[in-house]
Amino acid sequence: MNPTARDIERLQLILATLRRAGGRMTVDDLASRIGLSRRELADAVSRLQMVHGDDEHGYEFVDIDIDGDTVDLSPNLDQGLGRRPLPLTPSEFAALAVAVRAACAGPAAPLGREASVLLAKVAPHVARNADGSPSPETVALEATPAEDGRRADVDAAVRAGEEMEIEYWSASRDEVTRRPVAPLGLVHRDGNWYLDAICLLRGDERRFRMDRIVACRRTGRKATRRPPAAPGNPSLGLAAGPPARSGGTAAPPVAVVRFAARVAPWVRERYEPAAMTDLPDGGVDVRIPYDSQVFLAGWVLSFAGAATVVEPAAVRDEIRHRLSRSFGRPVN
Amino acid sequence: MIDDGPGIRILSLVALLLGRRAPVTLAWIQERMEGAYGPPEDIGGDDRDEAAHKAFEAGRRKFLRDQELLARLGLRIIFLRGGEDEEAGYLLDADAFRTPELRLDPSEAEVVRLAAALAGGVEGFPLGSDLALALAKLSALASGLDLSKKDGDVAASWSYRHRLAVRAPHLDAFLPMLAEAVVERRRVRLWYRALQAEGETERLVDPWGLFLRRGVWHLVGWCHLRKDVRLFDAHRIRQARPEGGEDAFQAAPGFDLSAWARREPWELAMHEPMTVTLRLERTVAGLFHPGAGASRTVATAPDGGRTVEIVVTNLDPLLGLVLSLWGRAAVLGPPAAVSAFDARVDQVLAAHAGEAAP
Repeated sequence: MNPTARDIERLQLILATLRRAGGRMTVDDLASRIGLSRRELADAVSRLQMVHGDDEHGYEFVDIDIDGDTVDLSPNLDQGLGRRPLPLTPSEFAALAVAVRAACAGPAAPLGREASVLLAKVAPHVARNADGSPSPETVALEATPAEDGRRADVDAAVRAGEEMEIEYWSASRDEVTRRPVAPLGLVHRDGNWYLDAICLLRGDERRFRMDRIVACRRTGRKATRRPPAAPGNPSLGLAAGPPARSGGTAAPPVAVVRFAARVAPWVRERYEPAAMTDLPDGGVDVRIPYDSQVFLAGWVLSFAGAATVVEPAAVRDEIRHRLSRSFGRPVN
Repeated sequence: MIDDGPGIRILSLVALLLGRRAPVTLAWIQERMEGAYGPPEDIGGDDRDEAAHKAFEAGRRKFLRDQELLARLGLRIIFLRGGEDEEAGYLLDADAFRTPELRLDPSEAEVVRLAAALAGGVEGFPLGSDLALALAKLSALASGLDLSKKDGDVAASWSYRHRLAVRAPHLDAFLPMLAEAVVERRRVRLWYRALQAEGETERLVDPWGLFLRRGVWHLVGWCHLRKDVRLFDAHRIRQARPEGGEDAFQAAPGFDLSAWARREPWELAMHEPMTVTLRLERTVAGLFHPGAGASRTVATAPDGGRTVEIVVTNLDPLLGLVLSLWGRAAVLGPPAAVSAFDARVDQVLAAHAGEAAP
């Protein structure tokens, strides 16, 4: 979007938002709604004071001012500019559709029909393309939609704030556990959906990857804990990417993983140069922090033979022994 | 002169025209705008000098540019040719300021509030500021929509964050341009370096869609160089620029961006299609839901385990996934896939036997 057009949108939106609020808002509230800092809002207000209308009908300027922590717009002295917000641009409508679709793959899954109605209601408020049609769905975010009954049960329990009993396969321990949990919320991180919940066995917060929840049974009991004020509590220590990195203060152990030449270009795109050592055959060694030996081993295996753990020996042993047991090979 | 930056000038023009019910001439606008659009046409009359004429032309062009910009924002300044009783001139089509209030029922408002959780949560999102403005406009347009409400509802209990797996400094510069080109159906010229390629290629592309998958932005569209649909990893685009006007193409009938966005690594076209049969323990059955690419469940065991068939055109990533599940999944067929899997197991065991090679 042309910067001038965006500037006009924001300036006009200040007037429309203020008018909607009855002409008075706190600086912080207005700034956050428009997406400006306090300073940017102050600058915008002083510029709006220079907007010049038609003086045939009396006062010719926009009468807007900041007084302390309050922004005031005099009634009917916005030169008519704040009666409605400007129409959404095609890009804004596309952005809204992207967000709605992503939400419908998560907590808005039961509201699919309402989501369609919403977009249909907004469509007439979109500035038309040259051919007169609203922009099609052309941008997407990864958000695998809910597919089966388990997911629907989890969604419903989260919405109802209801305790549930889940059976969960932990990839970092390769074990299946059953536990009662009180849901805190749904979280999407880097392509995966998670359930944040309080494990009622251990009494602490845990994050469960949705596609590893093997079964979910709703209990009908209202969960007593409320969601945290800030969603996505960083203390949960989600991995930045495979393999898991430690969220604690102690430095995590570091493995050296060797990647074959055929996957090395892909790997080089994803790791810092300082963590990598190029090899004469085109491969690359990468130093990778980890906090679950089993998770790291599984991740290395996902490269189907194109990755090998160089060190520590304990992870090499883990891979050898587990793989032998899993696929009926003699354990050396 | 009202020229405290183009934003103020253009808003002043809108304010000026909002008060008019009858068309006004450019000269009237020039006079009221105190020189922001140059001197009125009749200054100097027939004797005006070349400098005055140039100033008039520059002002007139500025007015036309502003008119075009406002049209993109949904505010049209139309030119009426006039008639016997009316002078020719410009009139603001003020419909944008007369739209009825948007009425959302509580469930629709909840959808907006759930969607609002994405704002600011997607690294590199090229429509991020568009989303913020869309939400702010809806707040100012709709009754009963309070996006500041934080507590006690499901919208407060979910969040969406997606970081980039690959960062490239030039991405910030052209991802928004690519997104705009996609929305406006505007061709783009790309300089692209494929992962295994030596150098980069220049190509003209009709950008059909843009999506984020596993921390990587992808562009999918018609490549005029290859004369086929192609998928581009955005961080491997070295340079990009729009070319030509809007509405330059249409995506192929039936094009489904979400189908591209859901493609699994084993669906990349690396070899002829092969239908692989997997047996899945119930603990990992959720990893292969029925919507995961071209897969279908052919049998479900009483304990919840499943047998699935998956059409594969890149076998290795699927074998890797099965390997990583520690025997909770098994390759049942075809024989070529079973042999390949066994070979991978032996290869990994051999690579991790004894001391690692230096």
